[in-house]
Amino acid sequence: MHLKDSEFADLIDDVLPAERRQHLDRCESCQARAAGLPAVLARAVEADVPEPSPLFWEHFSARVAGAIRESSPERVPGTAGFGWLRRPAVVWMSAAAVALVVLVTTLSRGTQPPDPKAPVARVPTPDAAVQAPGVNIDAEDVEADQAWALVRTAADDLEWREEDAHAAGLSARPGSADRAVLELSAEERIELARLLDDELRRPSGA
Amino acid sequence: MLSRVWTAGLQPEWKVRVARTDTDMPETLPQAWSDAGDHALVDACLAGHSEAFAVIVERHRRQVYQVCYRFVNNHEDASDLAQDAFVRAYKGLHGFNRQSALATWLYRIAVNVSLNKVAVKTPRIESIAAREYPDERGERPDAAMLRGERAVEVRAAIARLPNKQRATLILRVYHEMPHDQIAGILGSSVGAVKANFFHAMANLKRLLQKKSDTSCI
Repeated sequence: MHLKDSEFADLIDDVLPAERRQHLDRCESCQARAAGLPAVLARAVEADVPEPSPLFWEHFSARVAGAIRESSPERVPGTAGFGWLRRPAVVWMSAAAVALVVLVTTLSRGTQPPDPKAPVARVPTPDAAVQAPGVNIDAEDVEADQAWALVRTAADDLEWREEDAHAAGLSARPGSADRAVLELSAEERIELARLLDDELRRPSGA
Repeated sequence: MLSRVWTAGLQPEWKVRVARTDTDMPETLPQAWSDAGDHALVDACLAGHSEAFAVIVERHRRQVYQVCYRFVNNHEDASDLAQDAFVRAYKGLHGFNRQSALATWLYRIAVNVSLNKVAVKTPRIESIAAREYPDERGERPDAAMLRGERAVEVRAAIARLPNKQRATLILRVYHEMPHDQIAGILGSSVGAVKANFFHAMANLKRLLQKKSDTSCI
């Protein structure tokens, strides 16, 4: 029986059993199919891949890391941490986004006429604070609230330059940013988180 | 654990404590992982230490790049494919079957992205000048040039092989994989891999012979 195709692979690998090799020695048909294969293999082995520049390898890992960062972070293992938020470009963009949102929120609330029917804001006591009407946040919620954690982390490096705000005709009292964010409704906080998330997902070079 | 106390400016007695677990690794982590095994690195990545993946990339990038290059025959596409392979690997780490070596799994991804690439794009014809960084074997320039030309011919001939034959030949000849491992990567039987290998070699012989005949005319 002639050699099967898979047995020619064994011949190339030099592991063809002795009895099959005896057949090959007698069979001109099989010899014709096997002819030249070792030479082709030897020639193929010589065809190595051109070695890239050494600089390429230095940049390749950085390219991969960048591509991973720019890909969907929620589907990537290891993104439970917030290390990617520490990148300078991200911090800067998120700070700008937070400043914009806080500014708009503060201005919109400041320009609205007072509602006589609105309940008077109470100064919360430590116990009552988490149950203050309108704030709608309790300590447990804050602990578990990813959106709030995102806001807090993004605003960590925010630098509020009061002289610029005054020059623009704006003013902000200490704690205004904290208060404005805390006073957002649940829907507003979700929207804020979405805006921040969109901002953070943008490529760092953009 | 990172914890911080926020105090609202207008309500000094109102304190909200926000805390989170800091899972970020020190900047020196890749060095710390450099001696770890591949499976330990995968475990570290899945545990949130994504920096460990940098060690995986550094360890396997050359082999992955070379697999990709064998399919597309040019540096630009090969580097893009290799990058794509690692990104896919990172995203798919949860699906890594620890019964196989990480390298085998990475090869499989590299072969798949390469096959997808060549399925939609005709491989670029490699120029003789593709060898921009000749290795230093101390050989004469004319000998190096001749060897480079022969290598280009072989790679061009391999690029014309059917995909399964090409993948089999690349993994067998250039990455010295056993047939059963290739079968695992390509999803074939060992017998089919061996048959593909033989057909790849026979077709390569024919293509190189045709090229030689054409050159003589």
